Amino acid sequence: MLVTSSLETIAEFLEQHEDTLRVRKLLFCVCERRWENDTGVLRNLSLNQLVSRLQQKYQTFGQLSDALFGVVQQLNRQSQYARIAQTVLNQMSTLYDEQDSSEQTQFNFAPDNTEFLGQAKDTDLTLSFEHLAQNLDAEAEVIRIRKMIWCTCRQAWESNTQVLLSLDLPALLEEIQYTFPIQSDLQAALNRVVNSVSRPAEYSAIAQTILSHLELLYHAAPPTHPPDLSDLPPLALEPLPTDPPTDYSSPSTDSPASLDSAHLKTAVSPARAAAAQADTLVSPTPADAQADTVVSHQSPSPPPELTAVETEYSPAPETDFNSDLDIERDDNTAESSSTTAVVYDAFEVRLEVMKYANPLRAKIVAFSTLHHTFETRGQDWPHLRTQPFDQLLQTLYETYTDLETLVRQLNQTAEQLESPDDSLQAAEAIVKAMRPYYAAAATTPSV
Amino acid sequence: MNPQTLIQRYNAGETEFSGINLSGTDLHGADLIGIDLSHSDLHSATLIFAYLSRARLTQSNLTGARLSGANLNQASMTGANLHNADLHGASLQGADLRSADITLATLLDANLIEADLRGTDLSGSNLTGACLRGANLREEKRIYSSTLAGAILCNVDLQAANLKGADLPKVNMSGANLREVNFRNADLRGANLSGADLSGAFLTEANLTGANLDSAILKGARMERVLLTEARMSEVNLEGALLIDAKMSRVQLEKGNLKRSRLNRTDLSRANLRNADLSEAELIETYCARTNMTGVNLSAANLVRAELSTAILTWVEWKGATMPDGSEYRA
Repeated sequence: MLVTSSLETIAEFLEQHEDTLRVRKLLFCVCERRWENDTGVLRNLSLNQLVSRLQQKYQTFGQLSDALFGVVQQLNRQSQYARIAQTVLNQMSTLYDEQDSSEQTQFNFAPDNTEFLGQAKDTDLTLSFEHLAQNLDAEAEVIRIRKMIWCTCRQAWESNTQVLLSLDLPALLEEIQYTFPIQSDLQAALNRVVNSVSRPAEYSAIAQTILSHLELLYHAAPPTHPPDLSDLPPLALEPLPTDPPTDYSSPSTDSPASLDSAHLKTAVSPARAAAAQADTLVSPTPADAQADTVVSHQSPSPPPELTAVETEYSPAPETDFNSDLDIERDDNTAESSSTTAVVYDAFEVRLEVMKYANPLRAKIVAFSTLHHTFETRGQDWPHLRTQPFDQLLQTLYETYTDLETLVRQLNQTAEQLESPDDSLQAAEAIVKAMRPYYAAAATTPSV
Repeated sequence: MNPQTLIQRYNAGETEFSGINLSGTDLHGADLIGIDLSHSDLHSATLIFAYLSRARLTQSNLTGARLSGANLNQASMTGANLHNADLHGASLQGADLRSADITLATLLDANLIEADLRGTDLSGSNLTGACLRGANLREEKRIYSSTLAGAILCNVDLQAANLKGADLPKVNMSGANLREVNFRNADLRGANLSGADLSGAFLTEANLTGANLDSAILKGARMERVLLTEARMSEVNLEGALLIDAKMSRVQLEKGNLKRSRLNRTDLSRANLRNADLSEAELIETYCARTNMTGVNLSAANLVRAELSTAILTWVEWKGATMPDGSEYRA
């Protein structure tokens, strides 16, 4: 009973405090290990509950004091928050044993503020993880960055943009700092991720971006003093990830030194960055799906060096990759949707014709349309043999820029050949195989 | 048996004709779908444009037979002898050709989609322009062992084929579609792959010593620990390729496109990289002793701990590069 009434009194006192908003921010942060700036949210908090939680969490007054000042030390406006922390401590001393309350520890922090960050721009945007997260989110490759961070923390790959954007980035950054207390640990972890994706070059650059942003976590000014986390009580976080599986990296393990250079810039041109950004926010087009299947179904038995981790990751980076590289690859598959620029693919056309017609008949139709009517009983065989089928098809495509004309010519030719029925069927197969390349040309503006 | 008799009896409903002799007969355009001619002698027979889908031709003798334009889809031809046969423009989609002898045969522009070629002997055959997508070429050591040695495979379509560990020294695959092919550990010494499209292929630990890869496309290919000593690769497209720990000494890479490729710890000693584009490439610990890098574009490349002290570096573009000592290039 005594405790409860004390709690209420304390809560009321803090409520009336002139700086009640800051009190709420501080207490919330000590309890939740994250910073809340939203006034609405803060006002809805129950001070009673916050104080009660703090009391339950910190068995001794000393622990409570350490906890409060541990957070204060990470903030920019330390003097103001130090005063508030002291006020809270004074109020809460009554909740602890008599002997504890008499030892009101006056926390002596070094006058030179240990700042995680440079300047805080607006008023209470101070806690490092929040700020770092915002900086990372401002990067062009934000989606990829989040993918990598998630993967580094959880050894799982997430490719859903909505999910990625809704991740609590500050919390993940905090996790990273806790899991990888030295920069080289984080480098190594990021490296492992880079080695396990199918586009290591791209993600290597992303890793570099992440490292340069998080450098601040490891090199607080002055640079020789990394933040001392021993002041903080155990963090109430979700279970930390276990060590990455040892079969993670491919046989060619890049030394961690591959990410050594802090000077390596992520040379992402604005156009490419914008394209990557745009692509990741759009639901996958059929072309993406095509790229996905093309990548993941290599052969009946995947090469053994691809670990389970790798085959899990490889589709994802492919689908969001929208550089020139992948656009050209999509062009080379005839099944690509008309959303991508369609370049004539000789192999695909030939494949399609062969599937639906006798290759020799089709070849004769093509030959006859371009040269002269083929005589099966005559001497044209050697000539025909020297004309590769895919070249004949390509010449047809280049000679007849209008689909209607092509159809007409092929049919006319087929009717005059021996076995006109089979020849007409072959002509149809040629048209069908080439149609997508005419359709695309029709929709794109002529050069 | 003479051809007319055969056709008469076939039209009357008979299909069992195994073990008969039809050598040298003219059956062009004949409709013999599903016929059983297993163990028959058909050498030098004319079967141009014949319809033989689902026919049984197991162990038959088709040496020197003329089968251009024949339709043999899903035919059963295990152990058949097709030595020197002419299959120009023939269709063998889904045919079972296990252990068949197809040496020195012509398979120009043939359709071999999803054919079963395990243990088939294709040595010296001409497969120019043939389509082998989905064909089964897998080595099953104890039972089958197909061979493509000495086969001509120009412009062939082998997209996504599994050729892991295949023995293909000196093979001619110029202009072929080899996208996503698995060539891990394959022997491609002295192979001709000029103009071939190997985008996304797996060439890890493959042996391409002395191979010809001029103007080949190797975008995004995985080539860790590949052997490319003395290979010809001028104007090759290696954008984004993975060439870590590769052996590339004396390679000819003039005007090669190596943007964003990874060459960490690769041996490029005495290689010729004149005018190659290595922008944004990774050359960490790359060994460039006596490498000719005249006119090479190294902008934004990462050369940390690369050995460049004896390389020729005239007219190199260094903008934004990370130098071997870790510092950023300053003009």
